[in-house]
Amino acid sequence: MDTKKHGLDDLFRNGLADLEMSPSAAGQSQFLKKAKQELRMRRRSAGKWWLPGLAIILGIGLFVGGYLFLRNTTKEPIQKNNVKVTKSQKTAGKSTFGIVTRSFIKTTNPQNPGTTANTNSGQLIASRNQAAQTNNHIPLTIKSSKKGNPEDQKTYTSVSIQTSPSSTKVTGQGKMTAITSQTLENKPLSLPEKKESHSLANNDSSKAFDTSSILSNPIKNPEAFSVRNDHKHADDASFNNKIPNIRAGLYYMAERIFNSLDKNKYVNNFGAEGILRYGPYSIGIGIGLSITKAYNEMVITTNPYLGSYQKLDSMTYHWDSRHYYLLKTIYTKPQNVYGTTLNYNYYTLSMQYTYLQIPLTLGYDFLEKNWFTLGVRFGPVMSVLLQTRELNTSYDAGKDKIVMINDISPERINLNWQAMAGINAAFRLSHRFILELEPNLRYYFDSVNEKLSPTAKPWSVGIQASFLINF
Amino acid sequence: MKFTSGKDTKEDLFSFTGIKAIYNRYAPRFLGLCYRYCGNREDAEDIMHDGFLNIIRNSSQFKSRGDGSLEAWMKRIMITTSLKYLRDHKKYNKYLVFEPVIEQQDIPDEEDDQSYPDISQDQLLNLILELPVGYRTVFNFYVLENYSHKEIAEMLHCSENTSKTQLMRARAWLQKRIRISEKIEEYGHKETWSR
Repeated sequence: MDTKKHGLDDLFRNGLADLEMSPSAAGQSQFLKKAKQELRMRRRSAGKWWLPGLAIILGIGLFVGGYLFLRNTTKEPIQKNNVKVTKSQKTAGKSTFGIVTRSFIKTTNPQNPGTTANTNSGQLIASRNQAAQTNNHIPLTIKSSKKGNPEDQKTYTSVSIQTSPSSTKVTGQGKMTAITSQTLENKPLSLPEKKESHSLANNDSSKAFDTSSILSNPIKNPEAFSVRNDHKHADDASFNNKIPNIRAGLYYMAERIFNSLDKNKYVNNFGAEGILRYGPYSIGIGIGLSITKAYNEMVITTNPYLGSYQKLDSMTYHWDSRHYYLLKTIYTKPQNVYGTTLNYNYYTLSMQYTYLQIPLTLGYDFLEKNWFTLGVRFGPVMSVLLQTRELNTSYDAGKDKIVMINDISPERINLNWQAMAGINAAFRLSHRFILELEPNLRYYFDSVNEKLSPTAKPWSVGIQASFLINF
Repeated sequence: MKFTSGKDTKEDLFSFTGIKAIYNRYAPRFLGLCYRYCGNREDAEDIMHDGFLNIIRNSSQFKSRGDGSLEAWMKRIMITTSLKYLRDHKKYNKYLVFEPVIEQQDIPDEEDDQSYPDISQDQLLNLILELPVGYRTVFNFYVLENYSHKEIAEMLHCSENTSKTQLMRARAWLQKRIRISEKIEEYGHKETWSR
């Protein structure tokens, strides 16, 4: 730039250095609306909106991937148990024990090689009124595999059947009796005099029970229940450990936030969650809504109402020829008069904010009972502002004229992250249903509101109740 | 209730509250700036609001270089927005087409040691607004924004000599108007500066 002194330049430069003009209120409010839209668009384009999607995909991926991985690692190949009849019994036909659902027991009878006995996964149920009618008393020896995983227990049960020529009648004892006599063919057996034994042996059989005593008094033979309740045991195992399982359900959390701009306030959170459990460890993801109320302070500038007068609108004249008179008609309309003084009125506007909330929780259960589990939960929670709603929109300024409305409360930020930690108590209501109670603590990494000056970050305490279904 | 801190920071440009605070602080100054270019209050407000929106859109490009850098950066955006507005609107842009100056040699910048009477801010503003748009634009750039002729030439897509010529003519026009006004006041006429 040229540096030569010029008096005229200095005159204008000094005279107009502090030139200021006040923008109109209408223009200002219009600009602020546009600015708000611009900021929203910029935030969207800034790429923050891919974060929720990423979090959801990541959570679901972890959830499903973890489940598949754990399921594959715990699954063992199915082995069919061949049940051998070590000593044959003379039967006119085949003897079939029970209906097969997942496994079968095949009896090999030297005289009747085709004889088979099927069991319904250990649930060999014989009704009392349909007791087997045979010529021989058939004490059952049930061998239950105690080793291996519960899946094996559920699927494979070895049964040894000993027949006595003196007694061929099998009487069922309630629901735990182990023979479905319905399928037995009550044809006379031509058996030798000596005691015959049909041993349905498992490959790794280690223990045998005399089913005659079981059938006669099942209560005194709890071992027998191990056959009947194999399925339940498998579920117990999946509940406690070893087998991954999924729980899903609904949750509600009451939360109280501290250190927010609106002082302390309550937040209602609710939604759905899914939990993948493996032993004492768990990972969960949820999706829900968080609804809270807040109060925005507005400054409403008004001009005072001074009064009104009838303002002249128009006049018409009609010539009255009879009276030689000009008839005048005056039209007026009321006109309010306002003072130029500016009155500032503070008004509290009630707002409702709705957030989309996606919690990702990791858990470890340190105490496990059949009906109760106690553990810790922690993880990040993401909140995205979905909707802002004004609950009370009307402001009564009386007869005063509203000049300007200025929202002096800071805006809500669209995205914030929280860290959550809590103690989880799960109560098993039944085989399927679980109730969880979880008092927790949350720390907000971002302030809920936009603030120019750094202040303490909000934190909250809450209690979450979840109703879950065990799959 | 006050939410703004004392200093403006880049973070203010990323929040609605910050934008509001910046607007309240700088809008009167920038409105005066825009008014100097277009000479119409309504147009000046439009220009200023467009300028603020440009500030929001380009806030990520701002690099703080100490105190006052934000204001200088915003002022630059206001000036370019004003110039764009003048170019885009028919009632202004026909005056921004400058005839090429034939002189081969550089036009020297003249000195002026004359003394001028005290003139109020409103009178000075009215004098500027009476200038033709071309003169006014160059005068604003050179005198009030402290741009060099080279910068002005780049901004107005003309030669440096054209910028200098426009400035000379603007100065001559203003000097003449000021002298006339002085004489009018001497003779006691009730001449006002307002248009």
